[in-house]
Amino acid sequence: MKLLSRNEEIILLAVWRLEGDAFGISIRDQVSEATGYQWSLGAIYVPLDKLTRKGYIAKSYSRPTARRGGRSKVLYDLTATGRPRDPGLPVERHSRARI
Amino acid sequence: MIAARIPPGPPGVIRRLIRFFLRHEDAGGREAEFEEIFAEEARAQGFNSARRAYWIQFVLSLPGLIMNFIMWEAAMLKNYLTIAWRNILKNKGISFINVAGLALGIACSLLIFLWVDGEMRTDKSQPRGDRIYRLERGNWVHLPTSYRKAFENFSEIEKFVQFDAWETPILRAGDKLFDSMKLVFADDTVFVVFDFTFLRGNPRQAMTDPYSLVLAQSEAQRLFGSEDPMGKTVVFNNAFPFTVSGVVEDPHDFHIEWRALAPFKSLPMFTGRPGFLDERNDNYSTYLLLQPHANVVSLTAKLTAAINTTRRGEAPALFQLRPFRDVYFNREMYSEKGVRHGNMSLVILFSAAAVLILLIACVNFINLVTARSSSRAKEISIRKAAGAVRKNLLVQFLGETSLTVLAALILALVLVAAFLPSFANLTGKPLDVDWTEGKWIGSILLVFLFTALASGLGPALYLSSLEPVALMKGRSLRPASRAPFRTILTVFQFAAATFLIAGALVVLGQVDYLKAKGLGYDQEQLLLVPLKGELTEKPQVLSARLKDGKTFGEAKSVFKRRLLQNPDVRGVTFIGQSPGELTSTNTWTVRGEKRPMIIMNADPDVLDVLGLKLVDGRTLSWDMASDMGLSYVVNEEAVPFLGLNPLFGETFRANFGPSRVVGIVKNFHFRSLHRKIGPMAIVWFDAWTSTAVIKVSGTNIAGAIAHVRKVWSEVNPQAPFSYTFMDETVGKLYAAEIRLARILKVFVILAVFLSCLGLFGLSAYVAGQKTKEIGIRKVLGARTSKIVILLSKDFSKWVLLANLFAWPAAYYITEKWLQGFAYRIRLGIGPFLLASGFALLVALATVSFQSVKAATANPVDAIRHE
Repeated sequence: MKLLSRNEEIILLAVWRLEGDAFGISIRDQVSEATGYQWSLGAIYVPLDKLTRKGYIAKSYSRPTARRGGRSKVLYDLTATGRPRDPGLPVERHSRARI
Repeated sequence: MIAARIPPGPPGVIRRLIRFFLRHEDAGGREAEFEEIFAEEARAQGFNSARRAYWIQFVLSLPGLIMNFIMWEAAMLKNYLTIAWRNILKNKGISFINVAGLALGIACSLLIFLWVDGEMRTDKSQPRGDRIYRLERGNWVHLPTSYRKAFENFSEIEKFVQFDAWETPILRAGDKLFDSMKLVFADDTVFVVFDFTFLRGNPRQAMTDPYSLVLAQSEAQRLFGSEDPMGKTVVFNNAFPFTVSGVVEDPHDFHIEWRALAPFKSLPMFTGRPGFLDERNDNYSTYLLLQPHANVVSLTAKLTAAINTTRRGEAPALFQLRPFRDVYFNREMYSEKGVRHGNMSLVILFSAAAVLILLIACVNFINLVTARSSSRAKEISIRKAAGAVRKNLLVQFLGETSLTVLAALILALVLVAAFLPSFANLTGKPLDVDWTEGKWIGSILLVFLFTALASGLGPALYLSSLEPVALMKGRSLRPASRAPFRTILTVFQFAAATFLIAGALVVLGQVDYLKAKGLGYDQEQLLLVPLKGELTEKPQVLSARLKDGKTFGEAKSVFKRRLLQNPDVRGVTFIGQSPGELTSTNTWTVRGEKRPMIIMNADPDVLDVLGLKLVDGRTLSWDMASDMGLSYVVNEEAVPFLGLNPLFGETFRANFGPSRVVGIVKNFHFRSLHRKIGPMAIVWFDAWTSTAVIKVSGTNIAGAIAHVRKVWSEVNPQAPFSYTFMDETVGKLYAAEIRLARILKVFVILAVFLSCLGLFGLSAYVAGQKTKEIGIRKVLGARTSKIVILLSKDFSKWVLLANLFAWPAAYYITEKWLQGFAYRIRLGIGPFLLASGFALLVALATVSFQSVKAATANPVDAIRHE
């Protein structure tokens, strides 16, 4: 198992919490809300890239939207290795609720 | 209004900055996220607030963005490095030649510049150097002490110092005997006018005691080893004890060569003549320290007037003040005791050689890199197809060449460090370098930037301008012969090589001429034995002897008689300075007019032993007591110069009283061939002879030397025996030129080698480009020889064009160098033709290696298209 930094852990949990609707802005809002202080976009990109490289999250591309000037949204989701071993654990549910 | 309908976007500058930092496969998506923040804020709070939020978002994101940037750039850099490394491995040979060639060129030119720097620094470190001037009378440097009174009358002259340079025959420190050293007598103001770094002692008190002695550091080490030299005694000529009162750092960059300084006022004691300083001896080089902002022109005029009034009965002379820092490179003066000179034309020649070698090496590197870059067309087209833009390719190519150049640079510095001692040996000069000095760092950086940019920029710009599709299809690039940049480089390179070859040929020719030119006296089978110990004068006898000067030293006459008992010893004569380096001068008064004469002190046998030819009159005589010090044999040059009438009858005043000329000797080169033969005279004053010249039989030199050694140990058991051969001593006069010839040879070989490397790479490239053309020509019936000519024609044209530039430059510089010799070869077209021929030959040989390979290849392989 690869070690995660504190930031990576927070981002990983945020992606897990967002359940398939994780992209830059939503992740930022999520962690900002959960941790109580404002995260910048730049601050989440590095952990996101590292998590992708470590294989815990994978990205996919949404259909291009007009709102984004025809550019597609990059969505992140957990991979099999990134998923919690036993989602039924109470501590798991508890933390999911908190985040 | 129309403008209101267009929704204002986020600030352009920030947007561009974000775009710059977002090096990512998802850069577009991420940029959009920034814009989304702007859009949301704009919807909620209006554009001003949105702009602020966008700003804030950028500033907060900056650390992350930079991290991101580094992460992604590093990935690309890793790719560049991998490709660069693979390229090096793919062509191991050429890569090695490339790096080693550049390193060699850089190392070589660095070494030369170290030497040039040392030459240029001579005399520059004196802090008051810009205020110090040497007083000269016409072309005469040595002046009498009587001018001192005049100096004291001028407020412009702050201090002055006079020097008298001696070569002491033998000295004793503790109970050990040592060979001669350069001893210079100077006024105690020497440490006020000049600046020497005292390691021991105090500049203000070091020279106050008349028997004090200030040693150079290395001399103190030679005499006393690791002991503390302060307060120790050094005895000169077994008679004159001096006490060490100071030790200074070796004066490397000072044009007066000295190993020890002694006070001027001890000269009477040292010479055994109490009134020595009051005598009219034009013996002392004179340096004046002027007040700041003194008017040199008006001072010269005033000094000339003042001194001329004191020189009663002499024709008025012209005086000049030569800036101290100009002395080192000025070689026009008649005779300068103990002064070391630089050679400006040599410095220019060397600098030119260094720059040329450096440029050749750089050009080579550039040529090889650019020639090889075309083989990477496919790689580049793939990179372009994958989205690389011009900037990426530039970064890649520049990075790659920078790395190679850096490797070469490091190798060069290692080479310099390794060869520094042997190069110092070759130039005969210690070199000390402070690499941290700005000029070294600056010039190394300059070389680095020039080479890296020139070799990286060209191919990057050219290759990135091509259509990737065309490149991938394998369509050939422009042929090299039409690439003007590379042609210019090659022409330049060959011009430089031809220049160096021609220069070396001229120098070698002149050195051969110097070696071969008869000097008018024998140099073969002559031993020079410096007289020491018993064979020098005892102090108590000396002062008595100096008064009458008549008798021949007892020990010397025994020595001479015993030597001649062996049939292998053909002749013995005692002389003062050795012929070839005469500097002693004496001022004669002929009919009330002063005549400076170079004096050779030698006993009457000198004409026989040295093989000098008597033209008229008689030689000096053993029998006539009056010949000692009073009769002179002059050379042919001196006859019109003196204007005596009748020549052998009229008396004139010389060193030892009323004197006469008794004979004329045929002109001979008593100084190096740099200088014209001037008037000189031979006199015998036995007390001042210091060297035995022994002519030995050519068939048994070893036996003769053994005999001399045996006699020496019997007559003079305490003093160490040493000898040199006359031809060695004479050879030393041309040491600088012989050294130059040796160094130039190395340079030329290097330059030609480097040029060939460049040409080799280039011809390989051209042959590769024309593979198809050659194949088709061969199929259509062209002969191999025709194809070789076809491929070589271009290069020959360039090499010939190179001569156009090389010849005038080489002519100019070598002619300037030759002007430093009074006796020199005439500069004909020979060396230039030879240089061009050689360059052409080497070029053709290099090129034809490739063209023959291309021409003999199977045409089927060349035109087959898979």
